[in-house]
Amino acid sequence: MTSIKVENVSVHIDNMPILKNISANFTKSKFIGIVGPNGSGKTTLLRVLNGHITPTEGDVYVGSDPIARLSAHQISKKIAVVPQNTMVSFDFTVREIVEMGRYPYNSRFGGFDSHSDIVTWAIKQTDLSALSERTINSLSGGEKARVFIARMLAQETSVLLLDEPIASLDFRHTSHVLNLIKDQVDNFGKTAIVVLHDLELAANFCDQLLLLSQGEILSMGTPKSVLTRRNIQDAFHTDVSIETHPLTGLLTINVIDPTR
Amino acid sequence: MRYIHRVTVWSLALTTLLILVSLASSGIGPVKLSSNLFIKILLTTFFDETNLLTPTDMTILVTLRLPRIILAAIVGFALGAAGTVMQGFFRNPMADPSIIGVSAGAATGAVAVIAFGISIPFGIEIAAIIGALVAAFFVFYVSTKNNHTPVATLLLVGIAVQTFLGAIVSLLLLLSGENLRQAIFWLMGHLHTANWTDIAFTLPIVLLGFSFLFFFTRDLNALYLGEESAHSLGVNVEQTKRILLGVASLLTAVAVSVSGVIGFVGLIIPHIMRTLVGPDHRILLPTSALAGAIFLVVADTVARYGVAEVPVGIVTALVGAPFFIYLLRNKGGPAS
Repeated sequence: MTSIKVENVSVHIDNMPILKNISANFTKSKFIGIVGPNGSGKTTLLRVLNGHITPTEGDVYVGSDPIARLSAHQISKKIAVVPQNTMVSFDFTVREIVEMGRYPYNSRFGGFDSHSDIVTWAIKQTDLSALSERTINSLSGGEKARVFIARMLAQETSVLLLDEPIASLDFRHTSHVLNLIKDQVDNFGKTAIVVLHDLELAANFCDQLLLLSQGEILSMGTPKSVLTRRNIQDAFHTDVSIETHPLTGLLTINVIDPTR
Repeated sequence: MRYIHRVTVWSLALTTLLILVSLASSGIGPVKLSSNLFIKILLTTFFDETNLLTPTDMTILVTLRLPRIILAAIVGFALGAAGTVMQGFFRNPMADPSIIGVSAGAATGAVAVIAFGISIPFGIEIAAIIGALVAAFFVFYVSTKNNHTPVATLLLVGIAVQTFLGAIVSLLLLLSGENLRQAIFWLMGHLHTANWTDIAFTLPIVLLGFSFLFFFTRDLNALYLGEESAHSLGVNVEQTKRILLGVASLLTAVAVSVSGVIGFVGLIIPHIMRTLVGPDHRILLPTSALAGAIFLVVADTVARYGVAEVPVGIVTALVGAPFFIYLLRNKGGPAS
């Protein structure tokens, strides 16, 4: 299984520094959450990790290989991505999109049916079986999001990158999808790097958190060590109270509203 | 095997239809050929009964009708394929083969040659191809920054270049004097000048270009879902974009250079085929190319059937636009 290492990575877009000197080691078999305010560089960091953006400075290593030396095809067998927003202008069916997850393994004109077992499995895992022949544009936002999670599962990579996968999911599917990712990590030894906005969910599902603020790593480590009142204040400029539930051990974070 | 099965059945059906339409078309035209010509041509084709046709029939057939029908099929094939690729590439059902200024560039080159009365062999064709490729290359070059070519920028620069070249063409038309009629005929899309040389020149390029595009159809599927998705599925995004755009532009340029600007084929054919075979380019591309060929052979037959010769571009637009609106009304929009 693959780990990803980031060494002194800086990214400038149109001369604006988006990421500043980031170094981190994403070890295998971990569920890693990337948290931080809007515009702190979370999505850019994910794009650097999958090689979609080449850093202005620094290197990214997949296992022992520098990512710049790997072709898109080689990367696609190691890293699967669920992007933030995916617009589909033409009507592929759910199944056709999930089948695209098999592109890295199939010949250009083959594989429409040969891997249908894993495609069917991925569709079932994401609770989409009833919708598999529907066209993507007839689905709701949350259902669409699950289609791309299914595609990621079908791609069978050891590293999973997800950009706000639960942003449009309902209550039930939020925990369903997070448990699905956790299962992939705990039982299949995968490495999941997930951008999350809900700090409580991040704290309660992830093994490790990385808190970004203005393009820099403010803190990295276990959820409890990262989500301190002080760190949250520094990153989000918001005062919070943090409590651990005495029975479940789950973290609760409440905003302290100064106007109240 | 589902794919091989589907693509074979569709392609065979459309190819058969293309052959039938072409045979029927060869018996239709301003000069009445002897009766039952359709059957005679069939017999001649399949049983080598050459003596069934009179020498006049043969002359009209071989020097006028056949090259014209075959060229119409080649041009329609190229436009159908290029339109499919452009719509997929731009993820926009409004895109057509000339979207990055290819047709406008070709028109500028051709009209310039006609307007200034330059008469060298293949002058119009060469000028059209050069104009088309220069325009496409210019649009691509201007839209590229840091080795990255955003699709939205390409689209906007393409529109600006089309408008600019449109003005140049208007200006050239004003200056063209007695050559005005020829220039306008060229612009409206024509196939009446078709000859075997045109075919010898276009056929290899179109077939080769099509094979190239066909090889990249899966990447085009992945690009539908956005560049980040395509990259994560193993597509070398920027390189693939360059190849697709370059080859589709070349196909359009070659088609336009021999036939003028024939609108609507590249826009409506991919639409119609998408409702029939679905959005997967591995089947959509070959079927759209064949359907484009059929459509243009039929349109050109209509164009030369009347009392006077009508530019085929007028027929494709007159028939195509209402049919397109009918489709949109009945299918509830291009995206559905």
